[in-house]
Amino acid sequence: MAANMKKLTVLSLAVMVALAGCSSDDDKSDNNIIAVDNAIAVGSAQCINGGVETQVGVDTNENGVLDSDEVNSSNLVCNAPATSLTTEQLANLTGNAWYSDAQTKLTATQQANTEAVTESGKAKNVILFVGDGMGISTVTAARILAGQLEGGMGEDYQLSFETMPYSGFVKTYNVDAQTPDSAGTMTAMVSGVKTDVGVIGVDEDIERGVCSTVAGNELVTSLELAEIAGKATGLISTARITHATPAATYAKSADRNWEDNSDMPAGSDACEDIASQLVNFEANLEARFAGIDVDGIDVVMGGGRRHFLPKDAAANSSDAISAVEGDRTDGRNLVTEWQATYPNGNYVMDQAGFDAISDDATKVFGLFNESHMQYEADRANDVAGEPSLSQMTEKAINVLNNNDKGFFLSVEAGRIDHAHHAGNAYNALNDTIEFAKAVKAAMDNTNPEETLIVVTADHSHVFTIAGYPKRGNPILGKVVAVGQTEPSLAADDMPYTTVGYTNGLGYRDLGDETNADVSYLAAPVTGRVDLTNVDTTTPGFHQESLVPLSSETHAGEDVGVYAMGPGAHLVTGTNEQSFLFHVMDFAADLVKTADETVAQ
Amino acid sequence: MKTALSLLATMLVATLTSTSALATQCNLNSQYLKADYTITNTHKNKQSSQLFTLWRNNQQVAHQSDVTTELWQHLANKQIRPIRYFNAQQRGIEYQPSEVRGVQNWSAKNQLVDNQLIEKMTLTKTQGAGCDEVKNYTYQEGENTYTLAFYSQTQLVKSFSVNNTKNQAIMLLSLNNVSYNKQQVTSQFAQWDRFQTTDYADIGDNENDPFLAKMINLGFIEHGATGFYNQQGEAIQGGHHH
Repeated sequence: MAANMKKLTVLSLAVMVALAGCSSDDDKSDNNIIAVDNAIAVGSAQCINGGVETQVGVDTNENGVLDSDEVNSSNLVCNAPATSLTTEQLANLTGNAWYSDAQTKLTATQQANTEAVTESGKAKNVILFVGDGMGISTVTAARILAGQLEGGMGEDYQLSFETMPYSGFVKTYNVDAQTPDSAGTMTAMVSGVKTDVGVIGVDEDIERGVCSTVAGNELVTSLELAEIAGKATGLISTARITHATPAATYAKSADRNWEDNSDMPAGSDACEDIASQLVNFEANLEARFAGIDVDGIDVVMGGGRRHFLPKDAAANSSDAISAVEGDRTDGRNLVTEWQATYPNGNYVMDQAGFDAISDDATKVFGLFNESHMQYEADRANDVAGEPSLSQMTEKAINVLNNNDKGFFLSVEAGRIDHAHHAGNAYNALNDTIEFAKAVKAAMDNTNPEETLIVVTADHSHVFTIAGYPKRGNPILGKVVAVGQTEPSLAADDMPYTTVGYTNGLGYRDLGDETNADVSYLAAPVTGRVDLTNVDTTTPGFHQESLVPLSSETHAGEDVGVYAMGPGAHLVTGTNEQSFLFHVMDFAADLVKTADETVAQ
Repeated sequence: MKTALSLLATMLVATLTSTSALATQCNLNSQYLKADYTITNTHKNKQSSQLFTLWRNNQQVAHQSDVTTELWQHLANKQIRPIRYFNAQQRGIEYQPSEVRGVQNWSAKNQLVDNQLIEKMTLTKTQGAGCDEVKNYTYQEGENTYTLAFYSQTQLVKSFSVNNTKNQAIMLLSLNNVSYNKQQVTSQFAQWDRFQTTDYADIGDNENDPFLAKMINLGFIEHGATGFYNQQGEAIQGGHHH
């Protein structure tokens, strides 16, 4: 018997008589009864979890020890299985930062769930952020780059929206396309109905490019519902404000490219171009729904001046990059039309005009570029100056907050998509970082108890993070393996970058030393390039691609969605993209409130 | 043809020295002109030639060939913004200045020979006067001999050649005709301006457009580097490459 520990007890005769059941006080009157506790080790045959065996007998030879031949009885008590570990046993876990950080996160998540506002209609404000083309690999790479730009290793960094308590996945396909485009996807997000690729604000019964099929197939958007409900409304994009994503919030078009009248084919006279629909939004909405009285979109900021101006050099802005900035062939100047409709509104076209906008402004119309606004990294090169996405977001919130009924705001980082199409990760990731700053501006300038913020992408891109780079390896750099200082070599004995594209233009190194013509005119590069002496972290570096196309393409996998505020708890799991409209509607009772408004 | 011009533009370098203290007055407005050239490439015993037209419209320059026209706009901030027109299809692709990185030299576009090259060359002879004043330059660099005859008052190349003795190759640009009809010039630029254009950034979102889909799938925008296309907009092999 194993006995690591013995506990010996000498009992008085009187006591032990009773214990032993002795019947005579005269027997063994001079002998002591001894009880011994023998500890049984964990793992023993008798008790797998350890225990105690108590032996009792009379010390007949009076040597003070209970000898084996003196044992009269024994009692075995086994321990119950262990259900917890000691603090000492857990020290390796609890002392580890990964462990304690996760515990903190767990507590915060529990708290968030406890505080979740699950009742409908509690969101006074709704902000929808869309990173155009911001697939999950883009978010990951941007997170790492953002952390590295701040001096860290990067992988553990959190973009602003990654701190939100709820997230999920979104299936992005269009009704007629496995890999979608922005028109169909944004229509799904803001209308709650999936539709075809390339069409704006209309359902799948539309025939793309055929004007006559628009009538009767128009959808209602969250921005329109908010407008009818009396909320303030706003729209921001770094792309042209007539581009597919922003247009889906306010326009109904058989083709995403009908941005002004000159883009429309003959026979489309019955349809209104997208820019005109933006300026006529108030009148059009009131015409669609009898009895409503709306005041129009309060804040509009983005690029795309060309679609609002007549094809007349006299209408050029000070930072026009074309000899004739406007594209409209109908002679209309939609900027002056907007100014006539909203005489107290602020039309601005440059940084100085933007800076002068008062938070008390009632209507803001900012068109900061002839076409798309600049990439964030190129913004300083703009002729007249442009605000950043985060600056526009903060300004819009300040203005929209003037409405006591709350607001709906849609914010798009439109150029992540363009940089990816060009096969240029540098600009895609830097625009994603600026997008995260814009989300942070919204988080900092709104009350989370009354504001639902949803952050997502319309679709992904064929952008990959590959190889086995060591922790902290520059995300735009070449793969350097764990424990190494020199780049890893592929089977062709050449180094390779961590990020790359499945298709597109492929390698090009457009550093400042490269002649403009050479870079502009270079053909797609197929196959591998020796990057040994190339700095792949520069703005002008374009990553290698496998399939040579002149433009890198969208990808079809799911994108992420992140949310905070009332109703955010619904953002979980894997969802059809059209579900996001319903989350926003649930949170702010958009349909219900609009219905009530119309009924009044 | 475009390739040959690119060769000129990219190889030549320097600022035009102050011309003509001796030159007499020239009243031609050379900001608006149409100049027809022939580019002749000779390699050993083989010779080929192409037509090419330089158009100037104030702060815009166009390099017109059979299939494409490259139009360059000189912006107020000195950046250069290119548009590539496909003549037969009457379509165009607009680029942002930021999409054309590196040194942007307006003189290489506007007069075909970079001022920085002219500055390096040796003036050998001056002929004529006024608008007809021609300055003749030569320059030797490695195996290449450059020869330039330049209308100094209108800043227009009369002839320019690069002779590579080792490769037995000669590229010759020679002016056939020039007109200063402003109305004709502005009319032509207005015609190009009516072509349907697409932002370079938007090509990737327009795979449904057969013209742009071909650009996406075949990449013929970039093959435009050669300047040689068939009528379908596809790159023709065998052009002059650098």
